[in-house]
Amino acid sequence: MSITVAMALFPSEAIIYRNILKEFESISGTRVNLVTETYGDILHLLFAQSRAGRGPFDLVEIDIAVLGQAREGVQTLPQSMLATVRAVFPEPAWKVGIVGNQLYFVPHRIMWQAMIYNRLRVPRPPTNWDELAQFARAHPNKLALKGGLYEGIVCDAMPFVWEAGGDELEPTSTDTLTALDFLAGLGPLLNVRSAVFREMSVLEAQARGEVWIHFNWPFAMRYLYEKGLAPAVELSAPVPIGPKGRATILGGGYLGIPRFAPHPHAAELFLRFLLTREVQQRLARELGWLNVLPEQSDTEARMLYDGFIAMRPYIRARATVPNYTGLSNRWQRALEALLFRNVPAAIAVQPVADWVGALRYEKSRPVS
Amino acid sequence: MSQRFKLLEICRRALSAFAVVTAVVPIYLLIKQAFSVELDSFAWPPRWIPHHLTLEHLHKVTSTGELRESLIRSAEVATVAACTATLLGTMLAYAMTRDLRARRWGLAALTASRLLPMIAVALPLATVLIRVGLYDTPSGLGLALVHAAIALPVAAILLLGAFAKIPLELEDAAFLDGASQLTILLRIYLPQLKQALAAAFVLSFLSSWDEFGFGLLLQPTNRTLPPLIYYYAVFGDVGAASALALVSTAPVLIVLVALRHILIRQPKPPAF
Amino acid sequence: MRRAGRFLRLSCLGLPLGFLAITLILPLLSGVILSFQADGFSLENYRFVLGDSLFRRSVYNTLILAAASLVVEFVWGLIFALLLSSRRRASFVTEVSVLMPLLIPEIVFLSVARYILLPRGYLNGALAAVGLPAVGWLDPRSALCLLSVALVDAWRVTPMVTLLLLDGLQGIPAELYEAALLDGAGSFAQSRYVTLPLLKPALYGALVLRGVDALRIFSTVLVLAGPEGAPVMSTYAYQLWGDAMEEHRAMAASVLLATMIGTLGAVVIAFRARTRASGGGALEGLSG
Repeated sequence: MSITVAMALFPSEAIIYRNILKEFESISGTRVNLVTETYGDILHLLFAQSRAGRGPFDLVEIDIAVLGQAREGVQTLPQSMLATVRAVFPEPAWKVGIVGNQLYFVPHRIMWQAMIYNRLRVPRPPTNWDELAQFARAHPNKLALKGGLYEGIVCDAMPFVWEAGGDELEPTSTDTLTALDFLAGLGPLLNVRSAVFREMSVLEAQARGEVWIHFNWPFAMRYLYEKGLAPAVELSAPVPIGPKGRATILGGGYLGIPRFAPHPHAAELFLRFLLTREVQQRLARELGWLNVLPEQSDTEARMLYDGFIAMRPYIRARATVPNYTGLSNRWQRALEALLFRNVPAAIAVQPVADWVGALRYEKSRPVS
Repeated sequence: MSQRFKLLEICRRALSAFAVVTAVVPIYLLIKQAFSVELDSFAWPPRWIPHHLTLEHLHKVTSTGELRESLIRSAEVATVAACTATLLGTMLAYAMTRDLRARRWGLAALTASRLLPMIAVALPLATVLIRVGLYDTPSGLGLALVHAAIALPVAAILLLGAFAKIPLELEDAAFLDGASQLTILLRIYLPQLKQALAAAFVLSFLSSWDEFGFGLLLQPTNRTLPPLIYYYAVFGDVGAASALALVSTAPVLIVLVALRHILIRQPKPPAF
Repeated sequence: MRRAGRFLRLSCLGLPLGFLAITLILPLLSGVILSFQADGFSLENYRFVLGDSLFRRSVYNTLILAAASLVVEFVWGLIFALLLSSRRRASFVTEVSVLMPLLIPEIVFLSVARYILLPRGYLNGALAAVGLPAVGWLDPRSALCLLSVALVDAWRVTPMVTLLLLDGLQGIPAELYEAALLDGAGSFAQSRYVTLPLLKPALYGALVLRGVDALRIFSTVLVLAGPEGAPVMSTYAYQLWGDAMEEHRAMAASVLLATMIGTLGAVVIAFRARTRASGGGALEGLSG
C-alpha cells in the first residue's frame, strides 16, 4: 500500500525528509509518496479533492494562517492524538488545530519570526524600536518588510502591534495606533521593493546584500547557511523590543487528513509516527526545525538560530476568528495604505474596524 | 543603387547581430548559473565569468528519479497534445475553407476559447478531470487534452492559411473526376499541406512542452517539466533551476535546429 | 456522394468545436456562474471588484502594457520576418537565434530576465562597469517597471509574431515582385506597395491572436514585478484567488477581463470589416 502526502518543503528539505520517511516505510510496510508543493497550491488541491468527492491525497500540510478555510476540506482526527501533540508542542501551537472541541489539524513543525541581519554591515543589530528607527534613518533602503498583499505583511506588522499592547481585533485602540504610527514612520525609509517582497524574494535580496535587515522564519537561516552566507555574513537576532514588551508571530505547517482520502488509517499511523519524540528530535537536528530547540552542545545551530531561540517564550498565535482570511485581507490593505501610500493610521484601519464591528454584532445577536 | 544596397546589407548584419546577442545572453547566463556555485550567482558586481565551477546542481537534479520521469511525461504529453491539435486543427481548417457559416462558427469558438485567463478555466477544469478520472494520471492524458485545446487555435489558423493557398480548381477537377470528399481531402489536400502540418505540429508541441500553469494544477504529483523547474525557482534554488532548465531546453533545441526549415521556409519575396 | 461530403464537413466542424467546448468553454461557463455567487445569486462580487482602486489601476496597467508590448513585438517581428524571408538567405545562426526565445521554457526565460533586471542584476552590473548609476528597472509602481515588463514580454513573443508574419510574407507570389521590379519599383516601393498591403490580412490575424494574449499577460508580471509591482487584471484575479482566498471575486475579475478582451477584439474585427479593401490572404478569415 502507499499513501500520498503533500507538503510545502524546500528541495533540500525534501531530500532529508524522504530519508526520515524510509524509517516509517520499513516499520509499517506502507510506501509514502511525498509530493512537494507550495502552501497555496496544496490548499487548492485540497479543495479540488473535496469538491470532486475523490482524489489522490491522504495527508496534506496546511499553513497555520488558513486552517479556518482548510477545515471544511479535512476529516476530524481522533481525540487520543491530542495527548501526543500536547507532549511535544507549546500550548499556542496545538490549540489552533482545535475548532469547537474537535481536533482537525496537528502541527508537524512550528516556527516563528526573528530578525535577520547582515553582521558585516550591521555589527550591532537594533534591540529596540528607537534603535530600529535610527538604523532605518541612517541607512535608507536597507531595512525591508515583506510588504506584498498577502499574509506576510500581517506577520511582519502584527508583532509590532502586540509589542505596543495592541491587538488585531482592536484596530483603533491607542496601543494599536501607537504601533501603526511607528510603522508609518518607517514606511518611506524601507527598501523600495518592500511593496512586493514575500518570504523568498526578500531573503534573496538579503543574500544579494540589497537588504541588511528584515524579518523572516527559521528556514531563512538554513537557506543562507546552504549558500555559505550564514553564519559568516548573516545572523538572526530577536525582534526589537517595544514599549510593552516582546512578541513574535507563530507560524507552522499543520497536517490534516483530507476528506475522501483513499487511505485515512494509514495516514493516521503516519501522523502518529511523525509526532514521536524521536522523530521530532531528528527533524530538529537534521532540518533545523525548531519544534524541539537545539541541544546546548550543538553550538553552530545555537549560533544560527540565536535570535529565534530567544523569541520562543514570546510566541503568539493569530486571532481565532471564524474567517481569519477576511480579517487578514482587510489588515493587508490597511498596512499597504499605511506603509506605501502615506495614508494616516486612523483612516487606513477603518475597514478593519468595520469588519471587526460587524463580527461583534454578528456574535451578540441572539440565536433564533 | 549599390550605395543603398550596401546600407541595407549593414542593416541586415546589425539586425542579425542583435538577434544573436539577445538569444545568446539568456542561454549563456543559464549555463553559467547551472555550473557555478550559488555564491557566484549572488555576487555584486555580478560575475559574467564564474569563479568556481561545479557539477553539484546537475547532480542534485539527476539524483532523484523526478527528472527522468517528468522528462518522459513531458514528451508524451506534448506528443499527444500536438497530434490532437494538428488533427483537429486540420479538420477545422478544412471545414472553414469550404463553408462560410462554418468559418464564422469556427472563428467564434477559436476566439472564445482564448479569452479567459488561465485561472478561471483551470479550477473548474480540475474538478471535471477528477470526476472523469483523468486528473493527475501517470500518463498525463488529461493535461495533454487541455494542451491540445490551447494549441488548437494556432494550429487551425496556420492550416487555414495553407488551405487558402490551394487553388479551388484542383478540387473541382477532382470532384468532376468522381472523387469523394474524403479522397479529395486525403489525396489532394494533405500532400499540399505537408509543411503547414509540420509547422502546426512543432508549434503545438513547443507550446505544450512550455506550459506550466495548467501543468501545476492538473498534474500535481505526476509532474511535467515546467512545474518541476518552477518549484525549484520559486524556492530560490537558482543553480538547480538553471540546471533543470538546460536539460529541458536541450531536446527542443535539437528539434528546432533539425526542423527550422519547416518553420522558416524557402525565401520568396526580395524584401530587403 | 454529396451527402457523404456534407457529413464529412459537418464532422470536421463538429468534432473540434465539441472538443473546445468540453475542455475550455464549459469550465469557463461554470466560472461565470461562480462569479455571481455570494450568499446566493448576487452582483456583490462585481460591486467589490469594480469599486476597488487596485482593480482600476490594474485595468489601466493592462491596457498600457498590452499596447507597449504589441507595438514593440510587431515592429521587431516584421523586421525579423523580412530578414528571414529575404532573397539572400539569413545565416543558420541568425535563423536559430531569432527563434530562440520561443524555445526556452517561459518560466526559465522569465527568471533569467529577472536576474538581469534586479537591482543587483547583470544589467546594473554592466552599467556600473562603465561608471553609470544603477537603475531601478523593477521598482514597484514605477513607469519604468511597466516598460521593463513590456519589453521582456515583447522579447519573449517576438519569434511567434515573426513566424505568423513570415507565413503571410511567403503567401505573396514572387511574380508580383517581378512585376513591380519591371515597373521600376525600388525595394522601398516594393515594401510599400506590394508587401504591406498583401501582408495586411496576416498582420490583422497576428494582431488578434497576440492582442488577446497581450491582454491576458500574467507570468511576465508575476515573475518580474510581482502582483503588487505592476498589477494587471490577471494578476489581480490571481491575487484574489491565491492570496486573498476570494475565489468568487477572482472569477468576477476574470469574467470582466474576458469581457474586455472580447469587446476590444470585436472592435478590431469590425474596424477591419469596414476598411477591408480587397480580399486575398490566408488570415483574412479572422476578420469574419
